[in-house]
Amino acid sequence: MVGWRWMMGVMVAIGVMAGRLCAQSAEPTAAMPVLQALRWEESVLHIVTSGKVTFYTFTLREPLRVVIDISPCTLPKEVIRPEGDTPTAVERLRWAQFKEGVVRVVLDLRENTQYALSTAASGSEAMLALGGAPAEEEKKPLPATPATRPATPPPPPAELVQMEWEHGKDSARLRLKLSRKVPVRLRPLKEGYSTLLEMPQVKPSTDLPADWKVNHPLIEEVQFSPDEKGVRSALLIRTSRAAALSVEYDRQQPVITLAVNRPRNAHGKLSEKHIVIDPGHGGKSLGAVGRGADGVVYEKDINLAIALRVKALLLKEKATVTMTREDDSTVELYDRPKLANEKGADFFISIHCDSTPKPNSASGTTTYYHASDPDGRALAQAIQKHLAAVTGLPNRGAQTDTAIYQSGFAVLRRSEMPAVLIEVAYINNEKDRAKLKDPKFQQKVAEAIVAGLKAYIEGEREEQVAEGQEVHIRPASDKKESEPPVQIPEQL
Amino acid sequence: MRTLRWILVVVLLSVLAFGGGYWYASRRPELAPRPTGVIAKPSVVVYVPRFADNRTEWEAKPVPVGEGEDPLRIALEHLLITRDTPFPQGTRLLRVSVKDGLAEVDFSRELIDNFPGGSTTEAMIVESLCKTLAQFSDVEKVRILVEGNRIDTIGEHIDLSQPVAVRPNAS
Repeated sequence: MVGWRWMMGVMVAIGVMAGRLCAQSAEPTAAMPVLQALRWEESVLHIVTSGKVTFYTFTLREPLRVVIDISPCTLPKEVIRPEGDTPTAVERLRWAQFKEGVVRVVLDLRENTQYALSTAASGSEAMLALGGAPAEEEKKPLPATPATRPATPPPPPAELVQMEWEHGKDSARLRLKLSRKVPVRLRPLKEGYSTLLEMPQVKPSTDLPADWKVNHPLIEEVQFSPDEKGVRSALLIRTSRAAALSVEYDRQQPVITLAVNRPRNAHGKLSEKHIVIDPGHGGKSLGAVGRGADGVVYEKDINLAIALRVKALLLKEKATVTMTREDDSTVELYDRPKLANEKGADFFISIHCDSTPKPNSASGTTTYYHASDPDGRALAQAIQKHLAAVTGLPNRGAQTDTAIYQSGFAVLRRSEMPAVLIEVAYINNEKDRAKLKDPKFQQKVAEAIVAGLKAYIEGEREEQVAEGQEVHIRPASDKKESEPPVQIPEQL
Repeated sequence: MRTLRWILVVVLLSVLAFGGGYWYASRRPELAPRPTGVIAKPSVVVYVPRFADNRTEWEAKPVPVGEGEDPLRIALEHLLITRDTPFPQGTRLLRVSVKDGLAEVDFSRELIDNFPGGSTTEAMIVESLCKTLAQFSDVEKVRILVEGNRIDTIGEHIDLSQPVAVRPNAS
């Protein structure tokens, strides 16, 4: 019995050893290059392998370290002893079989150090050279790490030394005299007919008067928000109706003129105008698709439903209407503005629903105009003002279609008349979609579009400023309590 | 009979021991834990949109570039597959070239065929491409191609018939 137990023990031991031997002999080490040496020569680390490999380097942080992955490669049976003196910039040199076929060499750094990796022609040796602090260019931060952005001194702000109004019949011009030429920017605000003239590099001069009299029916309020540091001075202009604001730079002198004009085709009555209504997409082009428990809805169908309601309302107003499509037909993108141009239309209104890559990530109404077109901006402001009042959705404002890229929307870019593209709501947002499908909502949106267009042409009913009434430019802090709160945004 | 039973037990134990030994020797423990952390000095960055409070924010994602790899190609390939990419599903990079400041980027048909709709989505595709290309100093404008052909638009909103400047407007 004892003999049997001994035999069992011996057999099990032989089994284990045989298994291990078999496993080791089956390892694919024969063909795989081996890490042979790590050698420091001054501040250059030589990494030597027994065959051709690929060296792949990158940096990791916290703690700061340079990583070199070598593949295909294995560690040798004997322990590697690095040769040479480790440079002071390196706290520790480590290496390990990171995963099958990949050896990872890691340099723990004491400080941020430049490095460059070069590979020998044989493919079996790499040299990692460490050298000094990163150059200015290397220090350039990525947007992900703005804290390390090097401080570049901004140019000294220009001084605003004079502001004066020039009045015309249908226009008012504000002449701003500066100590040097600087760029400014116009940005429509969400509140009614408010526009911000952003002057990010301007500060007021000490002898600039605090108050100017303005007497023009187009101007309702002008509010100057000076910044003594010259970082975010701004002028808020609130007009009594949709107005075309533009900035003109004097070629010779550091003078900027802000022109406030009655916009194009904003004379007479809506009944005298020819409007091209463009229901976005159609036919083969579905546009965005809204999917949910409530079923599937196509953008092209919502666009058409609203557009047909707009058409009916405009016809009721005795206006002339041309539709780019009246049914579910396919219309080429560039044929839409082309039709409006050929007809000599006064306005082009494109109706769309928006969508984002992720459902329910955005909500609200936006009206787009092209680039910095003053008339398009005025029309967008008028329509957006009336839309925002009825949709019950977030007001995303009147926006340029070229905020980032300079191209813009094809139908706006190619239209020769004041043109807007309305994104009524987000079809891939559950709440927005429920509204878009509702005929009552569609009717309210159509009415708001027509009301906005009418306000652009004929003016708002309630906002007529009596001739001779004086409006003063005041500092932003000098506000009367009874006035509606117009906030100058923090972010310029 | 009893002897035979013992022989069977011993053989069975031997087989089990052989298997156990083989498994023990062939397993390759992770000798170094997978390092985690933020890549501090990536060679390229790709930009993808994020949504928060009904606003779009842009996230810069660093991508390491290996020896001998084309940073421009690596950036564009990652942009198409990275999490939160606005590019339509299945879009592949076919070719990219830069000449006289103009990058011509040729995508597969999925860019148009799988476009899910919405001017915001289309703007995000163009913007993520422009932002990503803007890090390459030799690129000023980009022309988008599909299967080698020029296109007018991706989703019937943005006019792409002309090359688009990759950096924001100065005005």
